[in-house]
Amino acid sequence: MPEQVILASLNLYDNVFLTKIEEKMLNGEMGAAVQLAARIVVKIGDVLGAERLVPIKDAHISGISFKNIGEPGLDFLKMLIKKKAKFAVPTTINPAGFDLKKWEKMNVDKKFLGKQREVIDNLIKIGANPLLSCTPYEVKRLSYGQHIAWSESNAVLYANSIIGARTNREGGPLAIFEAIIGRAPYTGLHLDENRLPEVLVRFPENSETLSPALLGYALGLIVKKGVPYVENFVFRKIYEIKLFLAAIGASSSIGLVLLEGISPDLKKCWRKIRKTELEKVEITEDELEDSRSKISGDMTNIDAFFLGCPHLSERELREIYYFLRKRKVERRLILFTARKVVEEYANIVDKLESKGVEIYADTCMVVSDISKMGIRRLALDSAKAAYYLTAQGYKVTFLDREEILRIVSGG
Amino acid sequence: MRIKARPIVEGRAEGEALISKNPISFYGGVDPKTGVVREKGHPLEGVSIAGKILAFPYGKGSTVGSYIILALAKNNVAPKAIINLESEPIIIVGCILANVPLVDKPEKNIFDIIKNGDYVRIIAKKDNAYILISRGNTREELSGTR
Repeated sequence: MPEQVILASLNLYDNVFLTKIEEKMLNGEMGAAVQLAARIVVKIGDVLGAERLVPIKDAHISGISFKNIGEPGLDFLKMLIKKKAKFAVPTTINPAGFDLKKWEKMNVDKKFLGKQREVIDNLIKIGANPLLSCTPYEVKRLSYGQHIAWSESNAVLYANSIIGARTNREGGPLAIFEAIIGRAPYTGLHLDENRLPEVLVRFPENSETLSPALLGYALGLIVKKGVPYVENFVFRKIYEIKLFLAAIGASSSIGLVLLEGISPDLKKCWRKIRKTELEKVEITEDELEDSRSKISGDMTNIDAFFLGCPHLSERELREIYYFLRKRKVERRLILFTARKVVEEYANIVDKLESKGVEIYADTCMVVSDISKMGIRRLALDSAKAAYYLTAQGYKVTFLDREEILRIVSGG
Repeated sequence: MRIKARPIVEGRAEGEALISKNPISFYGGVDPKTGVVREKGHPLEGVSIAGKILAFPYGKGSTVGSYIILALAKNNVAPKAIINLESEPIIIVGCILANVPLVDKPEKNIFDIIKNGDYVRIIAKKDNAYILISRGNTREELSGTR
């Protein structure tokens, strides 16, 4: 086939409108790192059909644990530093492979220790705030309508569904590039028209007695993608909502769920779409049991009980302590929270530790190596962690938080 | 045979085709040192993607997969080019970083047309892309299509 024939069938795909400064980024006038980042973000925007880029106020990056990203991830960060990369917006990072202060207690080996520290140091060099937590929404002040680029699914669901900020479910490397140029493709959940409900979900009538994590897990398995609207969402405690959203993130590619009585985006929705037009999905108790069986085994010989996926807030730690304060902790209970919480609320952490509860920061049960802590069989209240740990070969039992607290303190 | 496609990462490459009708998860699914597919039960399990023109529907799994494509290139075991039915960010980011030509949305059903071992050339330019296929397995047969 002669070349000119191919050229004759011109088919333009560069449909992303760029501002003058974005053109400069792409031309390399603002450095090699910005050029690479712009090239990637514009290309993704192009493929996804974005008309332009949207400036972002904030970024959050997943894929921090060396257990997940390994040498290829570390090499990638070194490459960015060689190109003099700098984040253009406030950028926080997800949990790492161990507690930076209590790593010895977690039996971390020296090689892993060095590599993980290198990953974190490199991210700090690029300008990251080493939050090392999956709950940036508990630290950062976001507002309704703000555009951000977050890449931790539970945080994406929280930002979109509870706060009404706008982010797609970015991948780890893409969020890094978006943070470097301070822009994301203006597509998907950044656009109001893509934030309207597509499926009406109804939970069983007695859903207040059911597990929010399992309801979320089942919803994700059944709805899979798009924007579900839950008509009878009864949960109002933040910890229940966190467990619910994290579970949806694990079992689906959903990035926004509209919750009756909670989600700020619902206010404007009904002017644009009618409830009766929506496809309806009933989630039954049978389906919940089905979901449970996928992530939960038998409840025997449990080595340890885990809470903290997503990371526990100060309030959750207080509630856990309140439950345990007059009881004796007889089983191994391991909690995960953010370093910021440990530092600012040392009092509650001390109280829990004095009862024999183990508390770790900077990491979690999914991205650390809990087998090094002598754990093969475990119980937890997070359907998300149950899903990932089952996939890693652990024997997992799913229980509610209250059941866990009861069992560890003698029934 | 010539199939039009959408260019995503520009470049030219030619080599032996390797087909997977199943999606590929690069993270956990492909060994970054050898290029061998490690995912249990995957149709390409035990097969190396190194130096191949690799065709699969789309990427799946963790976004860490982008780093794995970069690592494959550093270890000289990356595919020479990738053809997707529809590329998503994991594969796109990986191919840009690793400089692996990438095309998607072929206008014909490549899984009916391309067979493992066919000699395939990818031409991905800014505005258009073509997949050229030679059933004869030889470079010579393709030369007429230059």
